[in-house]
Amino acid sequence: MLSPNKTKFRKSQKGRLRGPAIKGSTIAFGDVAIKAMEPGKLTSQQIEAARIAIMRHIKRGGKVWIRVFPDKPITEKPAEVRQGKGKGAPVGWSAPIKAGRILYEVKGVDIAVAVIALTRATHKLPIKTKILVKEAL
Amino acid sequence: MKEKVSLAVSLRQAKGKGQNRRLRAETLVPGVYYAAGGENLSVQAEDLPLARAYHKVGTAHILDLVIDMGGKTETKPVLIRQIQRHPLKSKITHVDFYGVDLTKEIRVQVPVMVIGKAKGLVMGGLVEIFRDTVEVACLPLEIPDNITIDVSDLGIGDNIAVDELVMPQGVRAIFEDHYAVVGVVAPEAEAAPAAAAETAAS
Repeated sequence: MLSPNKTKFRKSQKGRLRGPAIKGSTIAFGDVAIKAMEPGKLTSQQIEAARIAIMRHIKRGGKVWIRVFPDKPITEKPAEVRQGKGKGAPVGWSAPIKAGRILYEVKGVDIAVAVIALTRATHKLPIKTKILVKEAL
Repeated sequence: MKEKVSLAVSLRQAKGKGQNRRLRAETLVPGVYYAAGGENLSVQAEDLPLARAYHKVGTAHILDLVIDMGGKTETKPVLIRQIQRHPLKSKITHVDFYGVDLTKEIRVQVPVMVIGKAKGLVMGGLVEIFRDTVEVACLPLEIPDNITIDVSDLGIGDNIAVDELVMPQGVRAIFEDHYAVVGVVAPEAEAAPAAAAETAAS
């Protein structure tokens, strides 16, 4: 699963996801893409599950781009622990997603196949999404 | 492209963020007409006709821009150089019209179209289009709809470079290095993390 090799700090504050994504909001590499329609966080497990769903559908051929990277640590306190006594331990990584962000792109397969593959991937994601097809020149 | 497409726009007095936001709320799209010679003009277009015109001509065909100059109209040949869209609503928020001189050569990006079944495809390879578009120089009215590439003779590992493309008359490709446009590649094995993840899933 995706995670940073090295980070400056082990834990980070939660942050807020206000406004639409400006960067990374257009199709850059593929022909068909998934776009986030609401803000949220994707965990590295969700990103990987969606990628596997795409790869299993397109089988061989085609190319997939993952346009997001989980670089924000998630922390959790153990069960049955009282509040206080410091922040919990890191348990994983997440990618903060603003509305409008392109998440995955696919190229090299039929548009119909790519759309089905990406639709399967959207079922693995915790946010509202839509499938985009690149405009012709 | 044989069909002539025209779009009516009017001069725009609104300048700046606030005024242009109010324009967008009224189904108008702010834009700029960059003149081939002379002064650039701030213009505004109705969003629906603009979207229809863009759908027909894209960024690589000449459009007749009918500019309402407050009473009299002027028709200018233009290319739609850039369209900006809202990240969520896919609504057009800004448009750049690039005025062209019909007697002077211009550079445009023309899409590539692949025809034929490659030999390498039968042997298990994959046809990969490395470049979706090719930059060409030609007169504005001679811009081709697309550059057609026949890949029938390509085996696995073969490429067609930009200098090998068959161009229509009056059109030449612009390139500094001889980059490959399309090729047949061997299918690559799935990446290691995927294999690990699938093992974990099972």
